[in-house]
Amino acid sequence: MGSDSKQLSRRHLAELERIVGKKGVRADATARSAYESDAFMLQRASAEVIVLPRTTAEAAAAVKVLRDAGLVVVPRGAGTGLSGGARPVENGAIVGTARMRDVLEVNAEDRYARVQAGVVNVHLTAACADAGLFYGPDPSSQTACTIGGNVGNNSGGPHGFKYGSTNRHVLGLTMVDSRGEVIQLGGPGAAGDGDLDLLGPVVGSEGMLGLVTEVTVQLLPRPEKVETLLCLFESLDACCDAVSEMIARRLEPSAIEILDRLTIEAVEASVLRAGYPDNAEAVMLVEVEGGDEEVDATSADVVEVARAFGAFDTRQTTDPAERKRLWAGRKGAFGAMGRIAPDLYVADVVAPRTRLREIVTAATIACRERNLKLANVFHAGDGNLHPNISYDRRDADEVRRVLEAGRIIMEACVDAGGSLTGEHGIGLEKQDEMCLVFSDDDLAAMDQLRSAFDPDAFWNPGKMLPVRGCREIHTRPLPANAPAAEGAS
Amino acid sequence: MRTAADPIGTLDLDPVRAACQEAGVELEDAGGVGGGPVARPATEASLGNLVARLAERSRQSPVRLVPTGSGGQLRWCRPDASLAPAGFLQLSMGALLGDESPTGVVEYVPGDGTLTALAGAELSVLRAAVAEGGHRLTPAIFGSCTLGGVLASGRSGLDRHSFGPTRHHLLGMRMIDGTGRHLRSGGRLVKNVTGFDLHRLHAGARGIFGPIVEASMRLMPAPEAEQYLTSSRAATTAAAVEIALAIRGSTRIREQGLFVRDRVVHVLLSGRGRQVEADRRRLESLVTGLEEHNPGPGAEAFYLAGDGPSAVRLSTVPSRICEVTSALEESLGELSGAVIQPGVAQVDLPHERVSGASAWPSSLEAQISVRGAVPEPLRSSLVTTAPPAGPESRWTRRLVEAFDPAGLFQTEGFPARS
Repeated sequence: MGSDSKQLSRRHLAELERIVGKKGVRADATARSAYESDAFMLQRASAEVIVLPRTTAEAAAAVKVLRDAGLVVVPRGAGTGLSGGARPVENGAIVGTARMRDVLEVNAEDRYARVQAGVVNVHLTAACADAGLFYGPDPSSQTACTIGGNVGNNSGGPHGFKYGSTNRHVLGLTMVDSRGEVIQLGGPGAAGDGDLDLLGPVVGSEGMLGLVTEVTVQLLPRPEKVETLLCLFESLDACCDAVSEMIARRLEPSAIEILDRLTIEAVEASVLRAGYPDNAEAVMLVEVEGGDEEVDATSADVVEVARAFGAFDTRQTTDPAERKRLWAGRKGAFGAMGRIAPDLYVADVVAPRTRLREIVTAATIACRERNLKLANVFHAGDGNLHPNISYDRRDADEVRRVLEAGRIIMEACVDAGGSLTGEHGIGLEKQDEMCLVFSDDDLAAMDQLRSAFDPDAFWNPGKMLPVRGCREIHTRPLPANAPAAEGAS
Repeated sequence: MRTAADPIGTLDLDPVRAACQEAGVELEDAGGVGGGPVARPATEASLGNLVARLAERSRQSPVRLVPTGSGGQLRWCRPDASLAPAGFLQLSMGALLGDESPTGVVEYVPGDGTLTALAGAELSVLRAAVAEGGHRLTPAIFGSCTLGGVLASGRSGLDRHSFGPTRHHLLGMRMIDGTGRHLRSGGRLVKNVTGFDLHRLHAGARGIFGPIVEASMRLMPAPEAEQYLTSSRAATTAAAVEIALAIRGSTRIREQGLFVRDRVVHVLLSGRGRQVEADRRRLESLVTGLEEHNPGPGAEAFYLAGDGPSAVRLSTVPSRICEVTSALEESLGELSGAVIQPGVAQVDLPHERVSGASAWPSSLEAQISVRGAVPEPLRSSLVTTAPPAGPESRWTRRLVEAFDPAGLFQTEGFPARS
């Protein structure tokens, strides 16, 4: 282990090395630099030490040492989060799950799996494929993001439309608390309906209630038939309206996604070329799953609505290779946008599904007025929009305009009855905006919930909940570039 | 804070009367469920005001509060108040349903598939309201019960099989805590991860963090077709459970409900019309003597027959349910039935059988461990009901201290603590 650590004593470092091995403790400048942010690049800070345990027991022992050393801890999965939730606290510690990658059990008969928190999302589905099962949540970053990170953010993904977000799939958790004690919540075979639901608040708590080290999730049987549909539109508005109509008609596909023209161009120009046509202003990617008869009937309804709302072409396929290609384009869309500009601000807001077009329009205007490039790719079926703004973070004025546009989009969503985030979390990015949705009393109650689990604010302090009171935030907003103050690059 | 050892007596109504008067809340001395005293706040502000005043006075005049709707869930949530209503002040949540919204529907958005309603709204009324827009509200619990009562009880009914626990469909909530604060969590959207999910904590909490005022629910599309089918009677419950497991194991049948009652397998199919017909044909190859009945309350009544508040229901994983059922049948005689769900299976034991066995608890609702008295095949597969120790117990204690510092809404035995 190289050590440029300034505060952690040699005794503490030696103790950490003894517990997790030399490979599991990083305090050198290179490692600390690599962990300065998650995928929300606008705010950075340097951790004192990065600890990478292999087991729950190692994690628990390491937490005791870090607590003794007076450091606070930020739990971290793969660092793919887009809201700054896994950014280190300056001079605190990171406990990462990068070496906790074992699938501990796949129980085909009872349809559950038990995994270490660092297992990559897509690896779990691969591990249970032979049993004819799969894991429901499929974030776009599923080839990199971890199950533990998914628990932290209550992640969804395109198929969340049918299967729901992570909280509907977690049966149990193993956690380490701020004293280094290990606790089991839930587990397979427990109904838990008439019990206090402590799992509920933990899933989606952004690493602020404890360190999740193992997760038990339910697995789903592979459907009898899967059909993917591509519906091509000459207008993004019409595409949005078609989705609203599908919801109103109570159709039940497993995913409804929209990609706009700029996204299509970026995907088609990349190695993930999916064969999306170049003559469409928007494409709707729909997946329908179930029994033969169910899929046939629902697909026919989807096509009917799409055509009624102006789709000029529709394509359907059940061929696994073709389906995989269509989805590779969608899942790789964020990466493909790297061709447009060096940095990407991925907004994550939710609108009522009756008002999709309105919010997309608001985002378009906000970006056009600020001379920003906007691409839309989103979980339309859930009302979960991802307006993606391309920028260069070396251009301070462009960063200011991006954050301003982001805030306008959030406000438009909240005004329409929507919300700040559907799956990326609040983290650092949206702390002040919490006051758009909640009162001081609501936020105080959330802080009390956090304190009940973590009275010493040991886990991921300074995230999610606004540091200032809502009245102060409403009356004296900080300048748009101010949040980057602490440890910002 | 009140301790579990405090006896339940008769509530001293004088200080309660004074608090109600100050808060502008109507009080009936014996008009509540079971003849207990009931406060009828006409507004949320007066309800919060009353709770705050009673919390302030609680050191001098302890009072136990119970939010009530129709009273249908009281035995589930608060058996203490159900048995001794004179010792509690009931807070009538139905009183908040004013002239403006007599049904309790705050907002039904058919185009978004969401419903927001007051906690005191009758579930049957809400179910009828959303049925007009082609939706169904889960859980499909019939009989007299309110939205708030069902959410507080954590009950999911027969819908749990295909839709999961009710709390999975809870989108957000407004509530009043034990200090009288008006709080909000979640929202009215089908997808939302903004802030901590306080509302998830309230679902199944039996009201110990204060009354639920309003809740938003995700709705399901009403199915195009439904069939409720039963098998012929099997020789034993275990034999019927084996048939049920074969149905669950067939990935080509999409059953929406599956349980055994009195040695008969009950199956619910629903969805697209042609799909239901196809599923039925596949079912006929697995089950003999299929009979069709009217879906709805009938199926629920059979389901609930083994699911009463005082029944003993043991949970295990589906792969163990056959041996568990056999072992129980051998030691106790005929069982009430079993419920087979995708990830959990439960055996229902007749109350009179287990209460007669000295080592058995009268009810698992009381969270008494049953491990020591269980035959060996069962022992290793039982989910323990022992009180949690360590962090979980501390978390629970701190949550109660944070949201009900005066102990107004606490009840004995729940949540279990070490």
